[in-house]
Amino acid sequence: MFEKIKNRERRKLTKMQRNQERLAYLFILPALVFFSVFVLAPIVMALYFSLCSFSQRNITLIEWAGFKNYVDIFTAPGLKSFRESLWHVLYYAVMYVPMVVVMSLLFAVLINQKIRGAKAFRIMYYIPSITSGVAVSFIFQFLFSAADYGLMNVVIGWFGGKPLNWLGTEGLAMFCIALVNVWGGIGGNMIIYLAALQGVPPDQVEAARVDGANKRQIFVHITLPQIAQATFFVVMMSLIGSFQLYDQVKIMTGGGSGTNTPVFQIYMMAFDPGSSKSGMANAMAVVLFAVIMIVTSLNNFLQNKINAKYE
Amino acid sequence: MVKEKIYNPRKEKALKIIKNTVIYIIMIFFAVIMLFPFYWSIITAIRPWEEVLQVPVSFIPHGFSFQSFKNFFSLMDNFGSALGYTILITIVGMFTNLFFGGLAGYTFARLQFRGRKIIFRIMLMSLMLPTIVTILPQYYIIAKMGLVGNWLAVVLPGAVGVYGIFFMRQFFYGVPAALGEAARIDGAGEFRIFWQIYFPQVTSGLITLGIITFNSYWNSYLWPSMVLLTGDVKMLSLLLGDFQQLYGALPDSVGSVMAGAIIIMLPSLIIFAFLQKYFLNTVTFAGVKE
Repeated sequence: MFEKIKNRERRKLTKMQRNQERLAYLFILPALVFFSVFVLAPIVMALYFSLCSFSQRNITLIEWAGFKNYVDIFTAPGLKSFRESLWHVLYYAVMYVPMVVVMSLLFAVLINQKIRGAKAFRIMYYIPSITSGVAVSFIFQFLFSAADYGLMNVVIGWFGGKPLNWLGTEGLAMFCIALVNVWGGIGGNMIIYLAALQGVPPDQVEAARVDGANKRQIFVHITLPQIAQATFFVVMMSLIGSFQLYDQVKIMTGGGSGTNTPVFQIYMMAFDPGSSKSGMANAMAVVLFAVIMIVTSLNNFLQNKINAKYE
Repeated sequence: MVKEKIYNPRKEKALKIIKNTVIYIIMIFFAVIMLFPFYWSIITAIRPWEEVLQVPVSFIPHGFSFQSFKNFFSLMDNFGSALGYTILITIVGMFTNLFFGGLAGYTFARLQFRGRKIIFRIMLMSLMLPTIVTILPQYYIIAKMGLVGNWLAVVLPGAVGVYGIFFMRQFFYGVPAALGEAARIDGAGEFRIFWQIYFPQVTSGLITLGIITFNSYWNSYLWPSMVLLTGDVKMLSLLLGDFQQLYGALPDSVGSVMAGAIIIMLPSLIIFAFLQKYFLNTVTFAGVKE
């Protein structure tokens, strides 16, 4: 008699669990559908399309092209711009990533100080991060204007410098765009660093102080290793973002003066009425993806090595 | 000779004041850099045109004029429609992310089912995926659905974002599991447990995710410039991009371009101004749990 009840109880429980499981699948169904249609399927399609020949404007006509697209994007006459664009974003990443990492950490350390008004500064420093990339590009295009009323020229004039054609000079233009994006990228990364800094165990810092370590030593040997995870995250996300630079380039320089980026190329390839070579555009996207993977794995490798040194 | 360190309260206090002053000076210097571009765009938009191009540059406007705003609106014939579509796209995208992202986040955090770990891990991995790889096939899928030029095309690919699911999951972990168990014993259905018990507990997470998705839709540019390339449906970001391309080079329209920049930034800034306390604390919290 007692056994029977127990058995029934168990069956009831599993039935309830099974019911819960069914509902769980139902609850994640919308997420799964969107994920499959707009993330998983496109990955496979990108690989397939990169081996085909078709036009984005007339997607019904798809022909197999083999590896022709991959060869063409590097060798076709008049297409050295894709190779160039890869160098451009690499140049950009080399400037942007270190700057944004150092500045975000500096800002996080500043607002982490126990002084009055630190919260107000946190708000002010975050504001650039919430604004539209298009609007920000307008404002900085004006600030970097080559004319006499361009404010950057006014500023270098104070120090006796000659006016520069900021956005019209090869090399300099990309530097300006990097500055703009550092300005806009500090906020989010600063918050990540702030969270990491607040997670550093105070007793470790205290112990080091008692042992006679100075502030610089504490920062280098205690704080930095403790926030290595945050640094890894910030560096990786900044790298991924760097290689996909588009909005600011489109608005501020239109891809001129050595600011042509791969995404700019991909967009033109697929959507420019004159071109519409979508197979090649997809091949470019796959190559760009491979480059990003290589660079982020390299970062991963280096960070692991650095971490191992501290452990 | 060993120098004796003598505790001198007056000296300590003076040192602390000097140290704090230095920190304040550095912080104010950075605050000026971070906020100056906004100040400059505002005064450029509200000063008379002659003053915009005047050399030497003056940092304080002497005259005041709505000229730039008037010119901006007179040159933008379909501003109203673009504003309407931008609001529609942003609001719909925000709510699908909050509801379906919340529901999935809750399920991953609090319900038991086979494949839970592996499905979540695969989704999480996709956060590292550069969007450029998927964007052209996404266009293809949207085109096959016959949605090119339709406002839904902008909403759909990010309508249930993985980031939102991950973000909300963190918050549902913060709500005690016992809460749901008690309701379950009382015979409440699973959806009711989610909707009436858990969902109201994570408002700060919802507000923060709401702001994040609002900004990402409101400010989106590359994707709309693909799917809304043809047709009458436009978003503000596209309209402004075209406006600047047409008139940006004319010295006279600098003020009008700045007026456009201010108009498109305003909603994000207002929302942030009201909810920043919520937002920054929550984002910091979510970062800690990463």
